[in-house]
Amino acid sequence: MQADIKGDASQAEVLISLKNVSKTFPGVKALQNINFDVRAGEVHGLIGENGAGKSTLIKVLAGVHEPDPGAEIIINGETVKNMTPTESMKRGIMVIYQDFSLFPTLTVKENIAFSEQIDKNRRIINWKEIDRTSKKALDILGVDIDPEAKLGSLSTAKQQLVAIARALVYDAKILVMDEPTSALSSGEVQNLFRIVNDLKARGLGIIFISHKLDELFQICDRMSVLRDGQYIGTRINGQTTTSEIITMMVGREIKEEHVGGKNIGETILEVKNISKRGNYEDISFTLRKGEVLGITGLVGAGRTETVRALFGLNPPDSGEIFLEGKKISPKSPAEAQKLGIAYVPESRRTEGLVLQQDAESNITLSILRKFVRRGLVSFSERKNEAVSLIQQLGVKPPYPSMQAEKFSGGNMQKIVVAKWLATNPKVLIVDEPTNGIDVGAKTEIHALLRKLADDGMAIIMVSSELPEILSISDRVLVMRRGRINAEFDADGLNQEQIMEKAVLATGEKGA
Amino acid sequence: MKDKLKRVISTKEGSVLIILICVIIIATLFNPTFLTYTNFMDVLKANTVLGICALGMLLIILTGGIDASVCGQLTLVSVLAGEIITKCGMSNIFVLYIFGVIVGGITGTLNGLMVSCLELPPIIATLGLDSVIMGFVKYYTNGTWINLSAFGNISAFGMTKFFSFTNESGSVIGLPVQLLLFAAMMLLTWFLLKRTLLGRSIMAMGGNRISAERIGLKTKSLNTFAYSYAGMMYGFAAITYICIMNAVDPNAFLGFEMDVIGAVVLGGALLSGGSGSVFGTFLGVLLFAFISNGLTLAHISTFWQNIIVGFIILLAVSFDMIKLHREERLQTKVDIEPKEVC
Repeated sequence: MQADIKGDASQAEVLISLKNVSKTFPGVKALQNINFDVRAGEVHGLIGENGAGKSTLIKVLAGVHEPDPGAEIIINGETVKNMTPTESMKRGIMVIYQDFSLFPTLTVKENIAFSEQIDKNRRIINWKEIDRTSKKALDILGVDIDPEAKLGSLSTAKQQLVAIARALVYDAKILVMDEPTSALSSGEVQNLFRIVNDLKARGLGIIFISHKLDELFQICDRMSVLRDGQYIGTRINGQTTTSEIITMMVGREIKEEHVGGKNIGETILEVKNISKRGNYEDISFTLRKGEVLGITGLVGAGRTETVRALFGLNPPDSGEIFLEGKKISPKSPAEAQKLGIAYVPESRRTEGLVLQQDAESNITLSILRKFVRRGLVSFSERKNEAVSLIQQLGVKPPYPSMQAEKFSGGNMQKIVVAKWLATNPKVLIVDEPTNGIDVGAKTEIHALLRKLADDGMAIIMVSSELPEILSISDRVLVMRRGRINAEFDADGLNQEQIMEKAVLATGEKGA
Repeated sequence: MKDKLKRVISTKEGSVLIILICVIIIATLFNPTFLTYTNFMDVLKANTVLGICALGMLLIILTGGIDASVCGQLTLVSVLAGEIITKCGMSNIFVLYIFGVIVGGITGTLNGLMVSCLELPPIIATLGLDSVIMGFVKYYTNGTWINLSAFGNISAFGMTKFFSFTNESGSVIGLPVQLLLFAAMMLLTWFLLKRTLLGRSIMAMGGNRISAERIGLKTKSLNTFAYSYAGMMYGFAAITYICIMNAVDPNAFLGFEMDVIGAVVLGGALLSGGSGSVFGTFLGVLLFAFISNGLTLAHISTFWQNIIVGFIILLAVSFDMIKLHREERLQTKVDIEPKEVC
C-alpha cells in the first residue's frame, strides 16, 4: 500500500501518522487497520461512502474515541498513548465539526478567542486580549467579518470561517475539516479553498473530508479511500482518475441477484418539476403499479426531503403531483394517508412505532377509526385485523400482544410496514428500510417489498445501500445536491455507474 | 449617528426601551400623577424585590433552565429570619443579610444539584422543592404573620432615604436605600456576566451546551452555580422585603415566580438560554412595574392586571417562538446545485 505514495509532498515532514488503527463498538467493527499519514503543507482528502468510517476516524483523531489496543498514533515523531480531547488539542489537532461547535449567542470575537481565556484561566476576562487575538486570527484568514456581530446572525459560510479562525488561535498544526462544503454555495466554496490553500502554504496539514469528488480533486494533494471501515488505499492527485477512486469506494465483489418486477402496470404517480427552496429542486419522475423505484444518492442529496413531500410533510413551493391522473397537493400526513400514500420513515424507533405499546396497537394505530362501533373501539375486530397482517408479513414471534420494543429490528420494521399496509395504500414509500437490520432479516424485508410490488403495489424505496438498490429496484433515480442527476433501468446496472452519478455533476465524466 | 441609533433600536434592549417609553406616555395620559418623582420612586422601591429576584432568575434562564421555587425560597428565608429576629432578638441588618444569602444559597444549590447531577427537568426539580418548602413553612407558621414592629432598627432601615429633603408640602423626598441595594446587585451581576470567565462560560453554555463541553467547560458546575447564585439573590431580596414590610407574611410570595419570570422574559431573555442581559432585565422589571402601576392609577382592578400582564408575557414568549420556528422553516437542508451555466 505504501509503494504507491510518491510525489512532491513526500519530502515534507510527517505531522501525524496512524498505524493499524481499529475501533470496535459492541457488535460492529467501525474501523479496521487504518494506516495513513498527513504531511506538513498538504491537503489530504478522506473519502468514502455513507458509513465508511470517516466520522469514527475523526473522533479517534479528536481523542473522543479510544482506538482498540495495538493501534499506534504518531504525532511529530512521538507515539501518543491515551489520546483525550485536551491532549489532542494540545498537540495541535483541531477538528472543525460539521456543526462548527460555536456559540450562537456570543459575539464573533468571543467565539474566536474564548478558548484562549479558558486556557490561560483568566478569571476576569481580558477583553483587550480577546480583541487582539480575534483580530489577528481574522487577519490571517483575510476575511471581512465584524468581530462585534453576534455569531448567530452570520451566514453559514461566515460561521465556518469563524470556526477556522478559532482553530488558528489554538496554533493548529493539523486541521480536520468534516464535510466543510456541505452547506456552502459554490462561490463560498471557492473562497474556502483559497483559505485552505493559504493555510497549506503556512505549513499546516489539512485533512479534508468530503464525498464530493470534484471538490476533492480540486483541493487535495493526496486522497485516501475508506470503505466499510477499512483503509483501501491512498492516491496522489494527478496520478489517479475519478473512476479509479469510485471503484475503490464501491469495489464490493458480492453480487446480489437482481429480481425485476413481474407485472408492471400503468403509471399511478407522476411528479412534475416540484421544487422547495433549500430542500429539493426540479424533481420529476413517474411510478408505475407493481414497480419498485429506487432513489439513491449520498447523505444530504435531498432524497428524504423529496419523498416526504409526497407524504405531505415537506410540501413543494412549486410543481405538480398527480395520483392516478388526479392532481394532488397533500399538506399533511393525514391528507396523504387518505389519498392512499404511506410512508415508512427512516428511524422506526422514533418515528415509526409507539415502542411501549403492543404490536396489535401499533399495527392498527392509523386505522383505529375503522373499528369504532357506536363510539367505542371493537377490540375483537381490531385483533383479527392485526393477526391477519402479522401472518401476511411473517412477523416473528407472531404475538400481537408483545410490546413493540421487544421485537428484533427486522420484525419491528415489519410491524411498521404492517401498520401502513393496513391503510390499503396505493403508493408505499420506504426510507432506508433495512438500516441497522441484520443480514438475514434484510433478505426477508427485500422479499417482502418485492412481493408487495408483484401484488400490484407501487413502491418507492430510498436507500444508501447500493446492493439493496440493485437487488430489488426496477428503476433507479440517483440524486445529487437536491436534483435528480440520473435515471437508470436497473437491469444490467452496476454500483460504479450509480456512484459516478452520485458524486459527479452531470456534465463531468469519470475519466 | 443615525446608524448607531438604528443599531440600538434593533437590539432587544432597544425594542424593550421603546415599549417602556410608550407605556410611560400612555399611563401619563390616563393619570398625570404617574409621571411624578414621588410615584416613580414608590414604584421603584416596591419593585426592588422583584428586580433582585429577576437578576437571579436571569442566570438560570441563561442556562436554559427555569426556577419555579422563587416563592418557596423567599418565604423560607423570610420566615427563618423572622424567627431569629423575634426568638433570638438578633436584629442586626448586616447579619440578617448574610443569613439570608446563606440560606438562599443552600436552597438554590439544592435546585442546582438536582438539575445538574440528577438531570431532573428544571421545572420539576424546582416545583418539587417549592412544594416541600411551602409545606414545611405552612406547618410551622400556620400561615400567621410575624410582626417585627418591636424592632425599630428594621423599620428604620426600610425607610432610609439618601439625599433626602423635605418639600413644601411636608413629605420627605429622597432616594430609597432599596434602590441602591438593587443597583449594587445589578452591578455585581453585570460584572459577573460581562467580565468574568465564569459568567461568559454560563452565557456560552446556554447558547450551545455540546460546544461548551467540547472546549472543556465543566457544564455541570456552571449549571449548579447559576441556581446557587439565584438562591443567594432571593435570600438578599427576602431580607430587603421584610425590612420594607416590617413583618413576615408567609403567603406574601404566592405566585411571585410568574412575575419574576415575566420580568426577565419581557427584558428580552430567551427561554432557550444563552441570550439575555442585566440591562434588559432591568428594563423588563421597569416595564412590568410600570404596567401594573399604570393600571392601578387608571383605576383598573387587580384581576384585570393579572390578565393583562399574563397576556403580555405569553405574547413576548410566543413572539420568540414564532421567530424561532420561522428560522427553522427557512433553514436550508440540502445544498442545491445551481443550474448549469456552461
